[in-house]
Amino acid sequence: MALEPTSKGRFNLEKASILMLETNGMGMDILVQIVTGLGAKALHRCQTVDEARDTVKRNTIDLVIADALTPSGEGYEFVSWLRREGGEPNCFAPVVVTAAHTPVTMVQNARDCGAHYIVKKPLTPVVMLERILWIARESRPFIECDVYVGPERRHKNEGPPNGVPRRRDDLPPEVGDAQEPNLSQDQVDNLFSSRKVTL
Amino acid sequence: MSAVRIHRPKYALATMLRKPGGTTVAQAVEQATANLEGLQEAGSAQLDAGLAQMDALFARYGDTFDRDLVAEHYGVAVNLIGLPSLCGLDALENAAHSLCDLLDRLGTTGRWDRDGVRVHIQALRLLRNLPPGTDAVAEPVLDGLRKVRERHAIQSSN
Repeated sequence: MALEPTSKGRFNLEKASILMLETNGMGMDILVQIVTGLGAKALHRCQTVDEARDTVKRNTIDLVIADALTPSGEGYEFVSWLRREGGEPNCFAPVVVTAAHTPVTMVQNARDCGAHYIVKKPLTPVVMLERILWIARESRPFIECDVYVGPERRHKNEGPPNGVPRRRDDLPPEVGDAQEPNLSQDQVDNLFSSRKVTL
Repeated sequence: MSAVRIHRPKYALATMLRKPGGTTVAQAVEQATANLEGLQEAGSAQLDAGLAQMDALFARYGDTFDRDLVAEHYGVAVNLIGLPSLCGLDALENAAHSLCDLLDRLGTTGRWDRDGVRVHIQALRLLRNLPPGTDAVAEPVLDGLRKVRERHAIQSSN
């Protein structure tokens, strides 16, 4: 659900330790102005992937906002590294990747790096805040296997993509014969009617 | 099949966001937007520098495909993304995305389209000089860029 920019809902980012990875000076300025506007105070500004790795090793990070660093795509590699080698609790940190443009050759890296969300530039305060709040609200399990480490990617209830086999715990696609007679209209109506409940 | 481990981490961020104090969404968005306005002048200067760099790059193109030059051009074009919007130039932002799409496609296919690149650079210049909020004027220009992308079968989100 889209965030209403005029909402009076409150949130508090003051104590959140935020790692920001961005090599472009103006890009970093834009990001800093957005997150400080949203109330963040504990910022780790990293202009190289090496700096970002050092920061992860020395600090507990509550949120990572990493640029994809197109065209090299090093930002995606950093997120993959964080997931596999960042150590707990940082390896589970919420990650938003920002991307100016995703080259065709990088689409798979973007999908598989283990970020919670990828936000296309230009960045806006509303979209950044919305993604942060979404991450905080969601309860996606974290998947760790040979080819992927990160939040579960199938979280939109759109079913498995074409050509992808179903998981063992998915319900079978075939629907069997009815085992009982259909509900009557009265029974259906009763399902929707409000009732007084004694607790 | 490889072993799959499933974790259910608790995000400290979720707890922090609910702590007393903080700010409202409306105040935060307003403050962040005001902060960004303070960057407009610097963003505008960087935008112009990027466009000048783009002209210089285009002057180096020949009649045949030059993979390294296209890659260098792509790097410059990517760095423009975000600056036009910062300055309220949404149509220019759209055109910059279009150029990135085109250069990415040229770099992938190895096909050269000097006219397509030139049209994009001219469009960037034109749109740079339009006052903010004149999207109707910009629409035919963006439509022309869309046709260039269609020629290369680029499915763009713009």
